[in-house]
Amino acid sequence: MFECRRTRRRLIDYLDDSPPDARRVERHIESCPACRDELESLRLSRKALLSVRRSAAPERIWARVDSRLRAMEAESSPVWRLLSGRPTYAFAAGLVLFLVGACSLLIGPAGQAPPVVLMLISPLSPVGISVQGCM
Amino acid sequence: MPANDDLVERCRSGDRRAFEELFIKHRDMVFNVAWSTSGDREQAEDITQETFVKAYLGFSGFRGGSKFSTWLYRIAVNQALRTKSTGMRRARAEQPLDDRVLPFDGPEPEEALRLSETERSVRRAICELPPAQRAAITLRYLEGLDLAEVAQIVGSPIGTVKSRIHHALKRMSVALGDLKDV
Repeated sequence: MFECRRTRRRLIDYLDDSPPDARRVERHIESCPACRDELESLRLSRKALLSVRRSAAPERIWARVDSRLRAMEAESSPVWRLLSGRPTYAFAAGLVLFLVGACSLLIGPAGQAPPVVLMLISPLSPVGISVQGCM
Repeated sequence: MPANDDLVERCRSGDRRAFEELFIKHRDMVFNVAWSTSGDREQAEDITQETFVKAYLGFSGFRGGSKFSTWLYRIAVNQALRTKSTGMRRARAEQPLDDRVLPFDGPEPEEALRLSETERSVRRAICELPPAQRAAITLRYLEGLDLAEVAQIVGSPIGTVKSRIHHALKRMSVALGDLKDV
């Protein structure tokens, strides 16, 4: 029984590498049908595994890897981080954009104030009068 | 083709072309380990993708103390085992085994034709093993690595690896009982 346990612990080495004590394993196997069966079953599976050929990886995997890396690089760019990394930065950036847009609308394309602005800033305009009146 | 060390150095400095060369050299190896360890061909594509993304992002962590391929195998095996343990494959649990293991109706029909009946039986038998045993026999017999390297990749003592291989071969022999003429 002890010899069976000892032999079985060495069967993988025996199958793969022919260890130094191979002769002892062989002697036991010759006299022990149970260990002989065990060795045969391991040998059968090992042989079957060695008959499996490697498969080629599908070509499309590189496109997926490349696209993932590009997306990650884009996300780690300073502009993206500013806009998406922290909510306060995103809010501040949005506010600046809004103010710039609003100013350009008020000033107008040729540096002339549009009628709405003239009405707001002229003391003779109805709006100006009403504002003064309110004060 | 340049040696792995040169390519790894170039990758560290952000050379995407060098990374593509490394990918081409190792993609089959990673894909086959991912396929056998996960037991699912479609999932193996996801694992292969994740393995290379992690490798690209983790080049600073590769010190060169081991071979590049060992480091990459380790990422692939961990990714495959993690994918299984997080239950990502539960959705496919009811899919027939052959649909997961074999590319019968997948995008590579020529692959299905190429597989012999023996290979199909072997892949089915591998799929029925526990993941740690699957990883051990895949690295040892399908990839042809020695026991020391397998132990390094899976992060277990050599004795544990031998034991897993022994149990895996024994379990497989029951499933492969009718293939004595392999």
